[in-house]
Amino acid sequence: MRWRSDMVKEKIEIEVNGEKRILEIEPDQLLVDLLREDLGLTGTKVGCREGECGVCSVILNGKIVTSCLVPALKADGGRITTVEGIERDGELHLLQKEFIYQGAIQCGFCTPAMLLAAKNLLDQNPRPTLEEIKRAISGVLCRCTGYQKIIQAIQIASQSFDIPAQTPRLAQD
Amino acid sequence: MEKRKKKVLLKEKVKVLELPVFQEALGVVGKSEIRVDSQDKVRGKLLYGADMEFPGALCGKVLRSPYPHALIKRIQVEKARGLSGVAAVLTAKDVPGRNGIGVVIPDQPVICGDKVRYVGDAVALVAAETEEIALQALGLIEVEYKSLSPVFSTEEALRPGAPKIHENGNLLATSKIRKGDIAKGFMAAEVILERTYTVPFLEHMYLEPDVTLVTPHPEGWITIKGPMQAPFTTRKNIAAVLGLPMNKVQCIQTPIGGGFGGKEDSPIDLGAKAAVLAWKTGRPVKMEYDREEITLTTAKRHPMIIHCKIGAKKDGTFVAFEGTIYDEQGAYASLGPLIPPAGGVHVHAVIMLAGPYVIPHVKVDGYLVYTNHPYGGAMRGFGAPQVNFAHESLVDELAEILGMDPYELRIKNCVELGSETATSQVLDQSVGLKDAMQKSKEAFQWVKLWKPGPKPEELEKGEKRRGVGMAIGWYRTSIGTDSDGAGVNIHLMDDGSVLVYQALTEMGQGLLTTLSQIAAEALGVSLEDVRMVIPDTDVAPESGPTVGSRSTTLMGNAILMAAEMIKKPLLESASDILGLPVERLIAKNRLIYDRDNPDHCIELKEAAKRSMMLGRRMMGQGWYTPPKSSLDPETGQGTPYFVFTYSAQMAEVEVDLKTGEVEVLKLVAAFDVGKAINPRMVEGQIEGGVMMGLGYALMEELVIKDGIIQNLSFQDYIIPTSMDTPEIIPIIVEHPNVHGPFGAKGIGEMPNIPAAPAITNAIANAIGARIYDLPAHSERVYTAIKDRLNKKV
Amino acid sequence: MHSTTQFAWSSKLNWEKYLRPRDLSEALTLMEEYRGEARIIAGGTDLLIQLRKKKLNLKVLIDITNIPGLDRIKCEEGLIKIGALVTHHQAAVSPLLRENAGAISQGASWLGSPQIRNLGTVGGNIVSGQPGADVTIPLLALNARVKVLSKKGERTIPLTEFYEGPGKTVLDSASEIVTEILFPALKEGETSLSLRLAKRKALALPILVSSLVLSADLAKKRFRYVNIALGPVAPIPFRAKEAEQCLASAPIREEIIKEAAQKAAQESNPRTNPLRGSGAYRKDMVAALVERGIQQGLHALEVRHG
Repeated sequence: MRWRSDMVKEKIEIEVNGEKRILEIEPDQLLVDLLREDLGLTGTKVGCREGECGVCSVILNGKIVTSCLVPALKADGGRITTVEGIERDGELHLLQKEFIYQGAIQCGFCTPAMLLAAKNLLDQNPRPTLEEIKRAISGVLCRCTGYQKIIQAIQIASQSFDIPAQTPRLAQD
Repeated sequence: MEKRKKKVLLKEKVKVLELPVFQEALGVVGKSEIRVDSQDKVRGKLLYGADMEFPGALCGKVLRSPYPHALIKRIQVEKARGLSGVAAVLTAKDVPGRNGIGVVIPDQPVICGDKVRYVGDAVALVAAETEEIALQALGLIEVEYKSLSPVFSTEEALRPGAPKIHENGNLLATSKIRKGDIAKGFMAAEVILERTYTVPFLEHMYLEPDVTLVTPHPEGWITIKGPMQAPFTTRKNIAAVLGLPMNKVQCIQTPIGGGFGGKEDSPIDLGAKAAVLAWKTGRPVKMEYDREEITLTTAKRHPMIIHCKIGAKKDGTFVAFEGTIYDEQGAYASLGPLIPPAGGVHVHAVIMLAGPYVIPHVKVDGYLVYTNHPYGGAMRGFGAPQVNFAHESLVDELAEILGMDPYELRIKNCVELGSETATSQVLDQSVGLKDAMQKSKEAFQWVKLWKPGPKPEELEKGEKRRGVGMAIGWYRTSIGTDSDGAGVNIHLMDDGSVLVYQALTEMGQGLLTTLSQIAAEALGVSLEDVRMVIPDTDVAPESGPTVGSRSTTLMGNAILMAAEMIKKPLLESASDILGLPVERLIAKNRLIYDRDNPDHCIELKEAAKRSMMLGRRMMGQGWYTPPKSSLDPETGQGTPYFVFTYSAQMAEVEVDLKTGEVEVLKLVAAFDVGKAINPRMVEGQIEGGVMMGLGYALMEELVIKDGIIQNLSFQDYIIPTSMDTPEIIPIIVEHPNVHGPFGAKGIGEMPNIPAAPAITNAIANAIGARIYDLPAHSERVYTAIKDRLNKKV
Repeated sequence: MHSTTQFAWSSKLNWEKYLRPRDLSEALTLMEEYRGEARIIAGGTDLLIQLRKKKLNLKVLIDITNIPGLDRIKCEEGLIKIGALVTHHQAAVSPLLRENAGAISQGASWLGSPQIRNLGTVGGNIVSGQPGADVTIPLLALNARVKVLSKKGERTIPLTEFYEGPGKTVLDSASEIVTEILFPALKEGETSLSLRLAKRKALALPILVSSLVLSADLAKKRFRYVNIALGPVAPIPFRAKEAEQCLASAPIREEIIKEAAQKAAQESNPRTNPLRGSGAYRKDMVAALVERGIQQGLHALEVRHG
C-alpha cells in the first residue's frame, strides 16, 4: 500500500531463513520493511524506527542488528535469520520452548527480537554467565516482563544447549 | 462445586464476611499453566494490527499544531485536496457527528476547529493512496494560528485571570475527604511532619505502536480493528463522532503489544480520526502512529504536586493526616474527572493519599486542573503511584524522626481485617497486608540489613554506600463506578469443547489464560478445551474496559455464573446416564463422577451429547456486578472499592556517592492477591510491574519545555533495560476475596506502585537525605548528597 | 500562514540512489559526481536517525562497507591502526585493543547496544562529530590521527584538529573519506581507560565520557603525563590541557590528583541540557570522573607491574 512511487527499482539477492530470494525493491527500502512487506515475514516488528527499542532485530551475516537502521540494499548478498527461521520443520528451538515453559512471554511484541538476541548469544557462547545474558539482550526493550523470566529462560536453555565440536568461542563485547 | 463456609473469629465486634473454602482440590485454577497464546507469539506468527494485510486501504495522517495554545483563524486545504492520490482532506466541519471524544467528558475534538490546546493537537486529517502522498498533502495545508498565552502549570492555571483553556475554566474537578476533626487531630499529635512531593508526566512506552484498521461497509455500518483495551468505550465514542447508533459501529480488538492503560483511550483518538476519513471516502483507512507521535499526543500518567502533613504520637501512633493534591490534567479530560461515585484518576488519588493506614482524622483536598500540556489519562495505577510515593516517603521520614524502624512504624499503623480507612470503610474481608509485610521482611532479611542512615561525615568516606528501604501499598480491584459490571456468554459444545464470548482484552497480562483456567475449572473441562473468541463488540456483552485490575475478578465471576447455568442441563444429563442424583455429581478434568465413588464416572462429553440430543441447550450467560460503590462527594466517606490487593516491597540499593548513580541490587515484592489463578503469570506481573516502578523511581520523566516534549522517543525517554534489573523476589500470599472467583482479586497494577518509594526510601537510607521529586536520577541524588555534606545535618 | 509537518514522520527516508562502490577510488568518484546530494554511509546508525529527524535531506547514499581492507586492527611500527570500518563490536572484543588501548575497548563496549555495536563503526563515530562520542573521546586521549583519502591523495589530521563545531568536522564530505585512525601504542608504565556517566546501563547517550591515558613511574611515585579527554563538555571533543599540565611530571599525591580533577572541571564548560543534566552537575562530574579515572589508572598499573 505504501510504497508505490516512481523510483527506479533495484535488484537485491538475499538469503532469508535459508531460502534464497531475489527481489526488486526501491532504493530507500529498509531491511525491516523488506522483510515485513515484501516477504510477509511479520514476526519482525516495528517499534520506533530509530534502533532504540530493538523489536526489529534480526541476525544479519551472523550478527544481531536492528533492521530498521539497515538499508535493504546494504544487506544485498547477505544471510538473514528472522524469528520465523528459528524453528526447524515445525519443531520449536530449545529457546522457544524455554520461553514458553518459563513464562517469558507476555504481550509477545519483544519476543521475536529477544529470541534472536538469545540465539545469537548461544550460537557464539553456549554457556554464558548471567551478566553476558543481560548484556546480549540489552538492545531489546521489554515493558511487560521486567526481563526476569526471559533471562531465566535463556539460562535454562543454555544449560542444555549443544556445544558444537569445533566452534571457536567468539569473544563477548 | 460446593462451598463449605468457615467462620473467622475476631476480637472486635466487626462483622466479617465468611470465607468460602473449596471442598474439592482445584484441577486447573491455581496451577501455573502454560499461556494459551504462547505458541503463536514465540513463532512470530501472531498477527498484531500492523502485521495484518489490509489491501486497498488508504493511509491516514494527521496535521498537528506546533502551538500549545492558539486560535485557528484560517485553514486552507484546497492545494492539499488537489494533489493527485489524495482521497480526502478533512477539517473540523467535516466531522459528521459529535466533534468530541473522551471517556468521561467528550471535550477532545477529533479535529480542532476553533482552537488548539496542546502541541500536537489535530487540525486536519488526510487520507491518501500512500504514506508519501499523505505526508506531501500535510505539507500543502496552510493554517493561520493566533497564538494565545499558554498555561503550563496548575499554579498558573488557577491564578485569577489566567487564560481559559476550556469554556468553563481551568479547574476541571475537585475532590475531598473529611474524616473526624483535623484540628483536633493535629492538636493531639506529638510529632508533625509536613512535606511536598512532585512527580512528572510519564509515558506508557508500550512497544507496539498504536494502529487502527477501519472498514466502512456500504450497508451503513463500520468496523474498527486495532489494539484497544476498551472496545465498548471506543464503540460508544466513535458512534457519536459519526452520528451513528451504537449498533452500527463494530470494534474488534487485535492482539495488543502492551497497553498499561494507554490503550484505553488512544484507540479512541486514532480510531475516530480514521473512522471519519473512512466514512467520508467510503474506503478502508489504515492509520498508524509513529513512536514520536504516540509520545506527543496520547494520554500520560498525571503529574502531581502533593502537599502532605502527618501527625503522630511519640510512640508512632498516627493521629492525623492532611493533604492537598494539585493534579495536572493537561489539555483534555480523558480519565481524570469523576465517574460517580469513585471512578476517575483524580478522586482515586484523593481517596488513596492517606495510605493503607488507620488514621482517625483525615483531611484531603484535590484539584484537577487543565493546562496546555499533553493530557493525563490512565497509566497503571491510575493515580495511586503518585500518592503512594508521597505517603510512603512521608511515613518513612516520620520513622526517622521518631527514631523507629520504618517497618515497625508501618506495621503498627497499617490496616488489617476490621480496620477503618480514611473513607471510613471497614475492611471486612481479605486484608493480607501484614502477612505480605511479614513475608517480605523474612525473605529480605530486613532485620539483618536495616540500620539507621549515615551521619554526614560518613558520606565523605568511600565511593559507594548501600541502603535498604521499604514501602507498602494497596490497590482496588475494579473502578468504583455505578455502571461497573462484566458479562459473558458461554457455549458448551456437544463434543466437550467450549466457546467463551467476552470482550475484555489480552495485552500480555495473561487474561486469556486466566479466564480460560476459570472457565475450565468451573465447567469441568481441561484448559485446551476452552477457546475465547476474539473480543468483538458485535459478539460479546458490554463489559467495560480492561483496566483497574478488574478483569480476573469481574469477568471471572461472570464466567462462574455462566458456567452454573450450563452445569444444570449438563449434570441433569449425567444424572440420567449414571443414575445418580445431581447433588452427588462433580464435573472435573473432562469427567463427571460420583462424589462418593469417583470411579463411577462418564466422560463429560457424553453428558454434553445427551443434553444436545434432548434439546437441553448448554448456553450460559453471566452478568456480574460487584458490591455497590459509595462515596459522599462532600466528605469523601463511604465504601468506594469493595476489595483491595495489598503489597509490601523492600529494596536494597547501592549509591555511588561521587556521581549520584543508583543501582538497585535486590527487590523483594510481596502481594496478597486473594488467589493466584496462575502463579507464574502473577509472578510475571509482579516482575514487570516492579521494573516499571524502578523506572518511575530512577529514570522516567517527560521533559517539556514551552509546551513541547523534548524526549519523544526511546532514545531520550529512558525506560529500564535488561542491564538495569536487580534480583527480584516475588512473593504471593493469599487472603481469599469473598467476591472473587476462587478468592481472587486484582494484580495488574499493584506491583508498580510501592516499588518507587521502596527504592527512594532505600536511597534515603544510604545517603541520609531525601528525594522529594521523581525521578531520583543521578543529578538529584548527587545534589542531595552534596547539600547534606554542606549543611552537615 | 503556517505550514508545518514538524510533527509528522515518514517511514521512508527518501533517498533515490543507494550506491555500493567496490573500492575507494570508485567511492571518491561517486562522491564527486553527486556532490551536494550525497553522503557516505558506513554503519548508518547515526545517519538514518538524522534522516528520520529531517536534519538532513539526501538523494544519494554511498555505502562503503563493501570496500575491503578498511576493517582491520593492527599494530605496525609502534602504531596501532584501526580501519575506519571497524565496528564497535570488533573494537570492544579486539585483544590488541583490550591490551593496548583499554580506553577504546571500554568506550566501544558500552555504546548503544549489541545491535548498534554490530553496525556502527569507529570511522562513523569520529565523523559524526558529536562532542560526547564514545569512541572519539578515547581516541582523543590517545593522541590519535585520522588518515583521510581524497582524489588529491592522502593526508593525516590530528584528531585534536579534526573538529570545527558540534557535528562539524574539517572533512569535505563531498571529496574526502576517513580510511584509518592511528595512534602510538602504549609502552611500559602506560595505561588507558574510559569512564562514562549515563542515565541507564545500555542504550543511553552519555551525560559524560572521560578517557585517560596515564603514564607513571610507580617506583619514583611520579606521573610522567596524563592525557585527559572529555565530552560532551564543549562544542567539540575536548582535552583538559590545564589539568594535564598540572599532572605532567608531578608527584603522585592525592592533593595533586584532586587539584587536577578540579582544574579539568573548571576548564570544561558543559552546558545545561534538559535531557542530560545541568551544567553545574556535569562540571562536578568532570572532577569526579577524572579523579576516579586517575585512581583506577594507577591501580591498573600497579596490578600489571606487581
